[in-house]
Amino acid sequence: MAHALRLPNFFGRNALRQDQEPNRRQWYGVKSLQSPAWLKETYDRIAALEALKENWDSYGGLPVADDAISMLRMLLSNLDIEDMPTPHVAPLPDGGIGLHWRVGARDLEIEVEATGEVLSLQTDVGGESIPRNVHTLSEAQKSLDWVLGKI
Amino acid sequence: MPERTLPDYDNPPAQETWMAFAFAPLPWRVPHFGAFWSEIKGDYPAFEVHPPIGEFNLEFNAVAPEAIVNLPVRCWFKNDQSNRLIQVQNNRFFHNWRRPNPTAPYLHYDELKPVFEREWGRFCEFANRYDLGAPNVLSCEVAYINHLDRNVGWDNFSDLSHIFPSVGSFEGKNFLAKPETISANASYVMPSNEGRLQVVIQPAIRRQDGKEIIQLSITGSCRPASSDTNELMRCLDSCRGWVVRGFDDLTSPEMHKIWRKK
Repeated sequence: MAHALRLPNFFGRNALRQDQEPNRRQWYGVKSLQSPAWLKETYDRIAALEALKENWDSYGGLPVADDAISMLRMLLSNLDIEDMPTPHVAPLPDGGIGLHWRVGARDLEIEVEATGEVLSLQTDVGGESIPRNVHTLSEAQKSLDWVLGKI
Repeated sequence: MPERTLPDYDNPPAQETWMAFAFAPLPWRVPHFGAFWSEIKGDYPAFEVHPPIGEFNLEFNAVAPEAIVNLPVRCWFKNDQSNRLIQVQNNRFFHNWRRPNPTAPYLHYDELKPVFEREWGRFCEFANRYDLGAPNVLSCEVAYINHLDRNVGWDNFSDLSHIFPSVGSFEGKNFLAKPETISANASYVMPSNEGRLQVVIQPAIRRQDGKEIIQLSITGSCRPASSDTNELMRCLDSCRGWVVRGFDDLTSPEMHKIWRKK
């Protein structure tokens, strides 16, 4: 039996919060460094890793590459990270840099290689790890949404 | 070359500027966006749809005897070089200019104002031709968005006094150390209550390159005495004068050197 199409009805006056208004007129995209609260600290941590010298881990680790730093900053400034907890930021021996989150039983590592290429590794505790090459922001966003349990 | 009596800089940190009018709502409906775009498409071939600025009414009732649909939007129309933008909604008209990249040359107000005047003229002529009436302008606005890159004259988000000598440290008397970041929002009244200057200082990241910046937004807005073009242009000049003088007054001589004040 066919069902009637149900359409929502809504009425109302709406406006965004006053403090959001000025940015909505502007074209140049910026992201507040104050939200999420951990963003400034994470940026400072990335800046500190920029100064690492060769052999920083005493196993011949390479300095973190400029391309890796740039790509990581691009990711943080363009992804929706408002609901994410503070990430653990760590250098990788091959000149890359990684972010790690654990939310409940889900683990996510985002690794930016020295070349600027991005990989994600999703692991359910007790389950398999799923590595993926990340080519677009929306692919990276899906990984973040996964660790938060949104998908 | 027009004579410039306001403070002027060879290399100002302005990344974006806009001029805008807010007016009493026109009976502007969805088809008007398309009709207007078809007239300006040669200059602005790309578009985006955004939620409107300010307060708006949402109405959607598909089962009423006469269906009601009122979903207000704001349309962006962008040029080929992606450095000029027209924003239209039923009660606002904007023209934005931005640097295509942070190091591209700056376009001066003297060059942008005639462009705005021309586009506003096109909009009014369209409104007239489609029997929407002449816009009754309630407010004129000029804004400058400045990006102060970290490590160019400053490096500490918790000490803005190097850029803005009048901004305090926000350090507590005994308990609180220096803040991690500071943002600020100030407004100033223009003489005779003609309008206001709003200053917003915000620590931010530029999405284009992920770099840390202080975004300094300065917006002048005032109410015109009429919707006559000469009066509207006078108001824009007045707003812009406040923006430029405000910028110069709030920022430090050290930063003026970096921006090569003339």
